Amino acid sequence: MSFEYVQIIMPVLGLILNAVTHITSMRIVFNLGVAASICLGFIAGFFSILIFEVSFLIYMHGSVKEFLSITIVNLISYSSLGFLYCNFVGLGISALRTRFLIEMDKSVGGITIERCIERYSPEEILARRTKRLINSGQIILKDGRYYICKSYLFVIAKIIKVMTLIVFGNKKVDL
Amino acid sequence: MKVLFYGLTLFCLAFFVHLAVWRYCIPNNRKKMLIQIFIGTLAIGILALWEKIHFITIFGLDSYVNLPEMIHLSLFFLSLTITYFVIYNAMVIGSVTNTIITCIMDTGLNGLDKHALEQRMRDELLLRIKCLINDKIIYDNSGRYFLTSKGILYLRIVRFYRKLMNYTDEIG
Repeated sequence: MSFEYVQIIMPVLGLILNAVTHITSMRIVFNLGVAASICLGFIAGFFSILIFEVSFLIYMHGSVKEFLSITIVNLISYSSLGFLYCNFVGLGISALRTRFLIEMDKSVGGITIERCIERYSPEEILARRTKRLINSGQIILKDGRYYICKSYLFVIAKIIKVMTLIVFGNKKVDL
Repeated sequence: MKVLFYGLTLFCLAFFVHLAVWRYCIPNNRKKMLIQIFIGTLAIGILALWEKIHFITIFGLDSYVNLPEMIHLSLFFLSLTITYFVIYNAMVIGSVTNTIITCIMDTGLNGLDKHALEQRMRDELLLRIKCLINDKIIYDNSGRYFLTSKGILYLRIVRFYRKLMNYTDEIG
């Protein structure tokens, strides 16, 4: 196989290594949290690409300009795939829609909205999420009111808000 | 160098076309339109570069791309596009956590009352059911909701991956 084709599949190979590292770390290192194992997987994939690209530069005597551009392309592609993988893992851990689907799957003869809310109430949803957010220092609860802490989720929420303003302007966004 | 330059240029071009269309009038079938804009831009871009238009040289780059470069460029463009689709989805219907953070953030120093947030969660719940119907993951049969074959497949994949991760905590 030509070396150019190996370069093409590098982000995909990085993603496979990412997934393998993530799953292995979750299965073997039991007390490692989901977020930590995802980070570990991402780092493993990222550095494997970087090491491959540097060895390519050293052993194949490629040009530095070409090395830099291909490395940037592969690292951006890999980071995008890593982001997608992270979202995919999130679907099976905390996604509300997945929880609904499980409730629907459990119930014989379908489920009504009322029954769905009964099984997983807004109070329970809020309690679970706010507990996680408080524990990770994203928000604080004081006298029955929630306050924001300037953490990474705050930055992400701000970015999404700005992006929404850029794409949709002041138009109302509905489904 | 060509893959990086043309990949980013094509992605920016597709993004600006999407921005112009959305600013003019938000289409009814947004997902389909979004796919058409991005894939259309990639197809036209690749065709233009593949046709060996040698008189076009931008920043000293020859416009011609060979087969491996074309595949590399397409994968680069597609990975950026799919990531943007996920971000776009977050803009339309964000995660519950993002909704909570945004709601608290909007109240500033006053903070947000617990009950106001509970009411917002109720709305989020209904919004997600509407979203699942729109995506044809569930269907409504006289007020009762059932999984479609797409929904069953989705759930199977999620359950398989949870098993693979050895993750036993409840979802939600």
